Amino acid sequence: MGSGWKLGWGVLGVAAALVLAAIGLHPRAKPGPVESLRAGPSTTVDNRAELAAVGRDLSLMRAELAGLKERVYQAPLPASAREEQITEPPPSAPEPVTLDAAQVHFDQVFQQEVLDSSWARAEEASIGEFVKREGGDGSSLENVTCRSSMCRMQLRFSDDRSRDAFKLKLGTPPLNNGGFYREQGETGLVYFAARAGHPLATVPAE
Amino acid sequence: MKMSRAISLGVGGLLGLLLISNAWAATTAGYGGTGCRQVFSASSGFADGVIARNQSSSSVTFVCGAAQLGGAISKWRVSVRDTTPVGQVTCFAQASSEFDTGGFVSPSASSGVTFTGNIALGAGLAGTTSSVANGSKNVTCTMPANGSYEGSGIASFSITEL
Repeated sequence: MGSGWKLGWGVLGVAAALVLAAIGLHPRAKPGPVESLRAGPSTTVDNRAELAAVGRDLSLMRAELAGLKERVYQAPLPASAREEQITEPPPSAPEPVTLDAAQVHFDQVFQQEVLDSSWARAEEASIGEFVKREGGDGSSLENVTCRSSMCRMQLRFSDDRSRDAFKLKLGTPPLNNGGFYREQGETGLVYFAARAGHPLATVPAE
Repeated sequence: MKMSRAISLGVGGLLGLLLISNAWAATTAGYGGTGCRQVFSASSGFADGVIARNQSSSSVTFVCGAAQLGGAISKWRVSVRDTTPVGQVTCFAQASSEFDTGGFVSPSASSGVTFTGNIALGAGLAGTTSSVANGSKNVTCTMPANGSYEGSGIASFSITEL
């Protein structure tokens, strides 16, 4: 359900418009209200009937438009449904956000998560080993906590260069499922790591 | 009924345009040799024509930059060569802030340790869920040490933004 789906509906909409236009321009088409008026005097009853018909058509089209809009701007799926659709892009284009807004958002989401203790303990141990192995001299994992769909970790490096080098390893297991990072001060880094099959939620526009 | 048809035409046309405008997505594409740069590696990768190559005896990381055109990264793809059966190419897409003080990272894709040959990574994989205002987009690939004279390489890459 991505841009291809939208494009399909778009093309369908234009095609429908063209068909309607063709019908409207057909020489054997019934005369419309404007033609009726030009053809001769018409009664108030005729005009009312025409207007009522137009009103009905408009109502139907409004309802159809509302239905299509609802399908285009779908609400975010729950985590369980997202797991099955990990290969799909987000349903609509999210606005760019600020780093502050993103961190506040993920901190809130993380605090509200329930604990999946067996996965969380194993993941925390795995991340600890990874940082020890790949963090470079002088690096430390100040804390790491996992809940059910993500882990939040705070790291410290010997210098800015070591931190930048570590950021290039964010695609390496166990940190290979995507996430959000934010530098803190000269040598600190906070990282929210997504669990496999649980991509981070889209940050709402400010 | 002419008026109702005219209204139908107008509404249908507007609806079509509305949906087509929502289908807009921008793609930036580039070649490894011209669009990728080696970062933080003691050994040296280099640009061989349009290919970014690593013929050295240790791994090299390339960052392939794309223009910031829109929102989150919806798709990304990188065409790589992996010539060693004991190492692998690993890539991920990133939507970072202007000076890379923070950003969103996509799930990564790897060629597989035992794989040798040419392969496209990232196709069908999720991108980033959000992007940073005034930021940048890139694909980062870590290339293994050479397994043959040609070594590992990046032929081309593309990033699609919503």
